[in-house]
Amino acid sequence: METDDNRREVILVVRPIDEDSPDGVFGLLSAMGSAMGAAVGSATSTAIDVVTTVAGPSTSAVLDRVVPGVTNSVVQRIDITGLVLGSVDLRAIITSALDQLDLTRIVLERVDLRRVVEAALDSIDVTEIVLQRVDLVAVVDAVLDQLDLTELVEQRVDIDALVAIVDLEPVIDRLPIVEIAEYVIEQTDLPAIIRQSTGGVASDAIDAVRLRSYATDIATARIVDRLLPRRGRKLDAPGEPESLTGDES
Amino acid sequence: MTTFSEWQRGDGRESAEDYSIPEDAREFQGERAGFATRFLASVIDVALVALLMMSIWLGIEILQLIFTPGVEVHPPRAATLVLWGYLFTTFYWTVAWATSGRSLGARFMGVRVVSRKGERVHWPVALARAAFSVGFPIGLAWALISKRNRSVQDVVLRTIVIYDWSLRAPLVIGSKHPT
Repeated sequence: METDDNRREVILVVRPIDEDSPDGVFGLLSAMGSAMGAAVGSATSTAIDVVTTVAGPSTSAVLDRVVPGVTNSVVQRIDITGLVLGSVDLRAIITSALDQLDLTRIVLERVDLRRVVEAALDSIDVTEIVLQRVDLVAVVDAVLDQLDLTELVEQRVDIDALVAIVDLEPVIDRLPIVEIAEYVIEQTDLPAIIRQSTGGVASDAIDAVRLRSYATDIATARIVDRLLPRRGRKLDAPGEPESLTGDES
Repeated sequence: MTTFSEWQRGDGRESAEDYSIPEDAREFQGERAGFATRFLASVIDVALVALLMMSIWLGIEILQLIFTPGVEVHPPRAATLVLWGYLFTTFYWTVAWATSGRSLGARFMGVRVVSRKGERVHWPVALARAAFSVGFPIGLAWALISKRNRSVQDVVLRTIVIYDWSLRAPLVIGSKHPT
């Protein structure tokens, strides 16, 4: 068939290989068909008539139309993975490739690290992992060893503000107020002060009478004891063993 | 000065009962009181009762003078006065010893009547001791001789008289029922 722009349309019929292969384009196509047939086996061994329209005289145009189909057919029939694993030194290739690549730079340039990290963090329970795998006591101890907590608190904590909001009542409840009061009274000898300031003549006189009377008791007892004679008296306080015994003289 | 911590541990700490008592007298608080002090306390009590009885008698006579003018005033018979005095003193001492352990005289002289365990004496004991003391006052003289300053009443009723100048609750040792 003849076209206006000097191009021809050719209808290609693929057949089983003939002994008498034609020359030129038809020869090439026949050769390829034969090769494909050999490669893909039954796919090309079946006699399928394919009518192909080839635009122009260029062989590459023909190849563009034919090769993808052929390749697909070939690929579907080959175990490429097995082939590669069996025949290729993958380790050497990968090592060589890694040697030639700056992976860090590539990752930094091409990977959205923020998203990766966020996705990773979303998918794991960091708290639980830390609790299980980190010796927190050791970590805290190490941190505390390096810190002067007292100085830190002095510098950074407003102690006055803290004290201002402290509820003192429970603290006061725990204090031995009565004991403190007794302590103060005793240390200041408050009774003596009160006696001196308010007791006046009357209580002083009573104290004097009592003391004189006590002295008289002692003196009288001493005289009697000397007369009897015996060694002093047992003036133990009531409740003590001596006072609970029935013996009396 | 003793710090509060030291004081709490007992260093330089005085007994609580000492506060209201002059320092000179703190040493012998709780000891058995001697004859002179107890005698004076009794004298004061008796004098107060006598004064009261005289006041009552005087009051009666004044009332008689007011309401029955011209009537001759007869002084009360001594026996009657003494009898009432005895009864009143017994009542007064019973109440005083069974409650606070001290009468006004005892309070003035700084002594207190307690049981041999240092506790407040029971009412029957107080009554018996009061009656015994009123009926046999000379029994107090035994305190002069007794090695433990006990009167006859103390020996019989097993009571003790102690120095106790404190103004607070009775100075009792091991007491379960302080007054």
